[in-house]
Amino acid sequence: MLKRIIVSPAVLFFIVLLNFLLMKLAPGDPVRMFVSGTYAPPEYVEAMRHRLGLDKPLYEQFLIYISRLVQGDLGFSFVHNAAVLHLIGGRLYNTLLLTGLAFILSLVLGILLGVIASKKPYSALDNSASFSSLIVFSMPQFWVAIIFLLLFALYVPIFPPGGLISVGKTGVDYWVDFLWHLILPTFVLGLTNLATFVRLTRASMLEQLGKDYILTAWGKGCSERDVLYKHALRNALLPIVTMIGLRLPWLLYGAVLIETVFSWPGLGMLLYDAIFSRDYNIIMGIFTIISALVIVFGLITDLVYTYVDPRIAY
Amino acid sequence: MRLAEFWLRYRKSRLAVVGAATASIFVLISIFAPFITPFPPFEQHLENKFLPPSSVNIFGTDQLGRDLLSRVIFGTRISMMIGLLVTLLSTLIGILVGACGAFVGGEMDELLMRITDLTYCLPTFFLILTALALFGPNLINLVLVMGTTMWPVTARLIRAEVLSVKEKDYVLASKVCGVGSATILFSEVLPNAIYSVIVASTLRTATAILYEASLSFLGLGDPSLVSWGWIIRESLPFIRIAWWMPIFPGIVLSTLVIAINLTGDGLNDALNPQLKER
Repeated sequence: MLKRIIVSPAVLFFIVLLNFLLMKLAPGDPVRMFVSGTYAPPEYVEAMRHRLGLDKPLYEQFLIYISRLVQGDLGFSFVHNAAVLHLIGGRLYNTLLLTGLAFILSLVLGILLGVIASKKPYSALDNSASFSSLIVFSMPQFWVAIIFLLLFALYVPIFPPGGLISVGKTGVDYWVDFLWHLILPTFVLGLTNLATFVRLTRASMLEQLGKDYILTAWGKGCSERDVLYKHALRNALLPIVTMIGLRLPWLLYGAVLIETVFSWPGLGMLLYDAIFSRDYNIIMGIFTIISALVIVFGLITDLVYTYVDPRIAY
Repeated sequence: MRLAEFWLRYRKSRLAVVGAATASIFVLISIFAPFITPFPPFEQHLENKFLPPSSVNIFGTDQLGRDLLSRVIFGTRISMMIGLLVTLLSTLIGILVGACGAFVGGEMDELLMRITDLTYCLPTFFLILTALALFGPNLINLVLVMGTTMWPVTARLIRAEVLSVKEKDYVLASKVCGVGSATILFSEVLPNAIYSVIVASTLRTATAILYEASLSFLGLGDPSLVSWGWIIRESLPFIRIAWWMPIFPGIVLSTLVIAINLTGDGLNDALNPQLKER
């Protein structure tokens, strides 16, 4: 366990190093950002390099970069005229809320469908569940989002076409309206991530259902419900817990794309705008923050895993 | 496993056959794209903008009056190219890293596996996105960045396989006969490991194609090429008046990815028969 906790900061360090190297290796001179036109006096360029610390040796630049990161300084966005950490902080909650709700939706629905599919393997129900989850899994998430937007916000306007809230709502109305805006993106993100959990639950359940203790449970006269949910599912959940830890990058990847379509003001929209305006500090900042999130979340799932399955020790 | 035996097993699944056939059609379309498009993909007819699907423009036209079907057909090329090149590059790196580690063993193995683990737990999509934004979105960078980040699964598969056959009698026998490590790797070990690598590679092709579409959609596509993700991105401001602009490229893209995933599933069942019977 201790090893696991030590490894996580090492991974984070590796990511920070990677970020720094990418920044250094990328073509283009940062000084050019402050120099308009093609010609600049060499003395001015030299002074600018000195001011930005670009004349220092590489390791020193890296140390400065790290010490700033530790202090929560992810750089400055000249497009927004604000600190990157501040910009990300303002959007992070929206993304985490969307991702969290979609995660729960896909997990609960995925396990349920997986159990149902495993009841009669290779039956029509099982085949159609497997096939349809494969199809949804293969569709680009931003495209599914566009379809839902067209269907349920433009042609049949049940849901708002995007944004966080409508203008001029207060009190309870505000929160109802907020949730109203959240439903469509959450549903699309949950749906497109369903397949992994359906397939894994089905495979894991089939493995458990073939074991002797299940035969014993049937022999004792347990009801189907008890056998499936109390005996088999409990053991079948173990590989699913592992998968939960591995799915977060995928959910965030989907969230970024879906936010763009629904104009949900989270990290995705920030990223989309940053790519458009070539705001590299924001792009790198988002990469750092998302990496940190993924590592911390992975560590938490590992801790949970040792709790649910005491046989495992790291 | 002989080819005939493999085919007998593979064709048992009708979906897998349909998937492989569809994927082959896409390969043909991408090769013969210039000969089958009704119009040049970049030709603008501003008087014909936003035409709904008709017998002339089967997929309709876009905001510049370009024929959407022709653009989608040309988009097949970039998706196919990305899918194939990224899979080739990442599989090659994976084989080299996995085989090196397992063959040499010791500290080399330890180091290579740590690098593999590190790369595996990175949020791949965001790493690709960041690198591409910094280095500039063009086809070569796209292939290089994706190829150098998507190899860990293959490396692990190869390493496990090499470790399991390294001590088998036939490998020891070739060693005793004085056969070199590289020859043993390519003629004795790899043919046994290749099945699981093929399945993993097929599924990765699908992921690479989806990644490329997503990157283009976010604005990191090669601007000089027609890509499905880019077409859908361009359609966003107009979806209220031109539903066909995002719909058709998306259907084609989904069809290709579904076909590849079905092929991968079929290969998995055909190449690992013991898994199916379990």
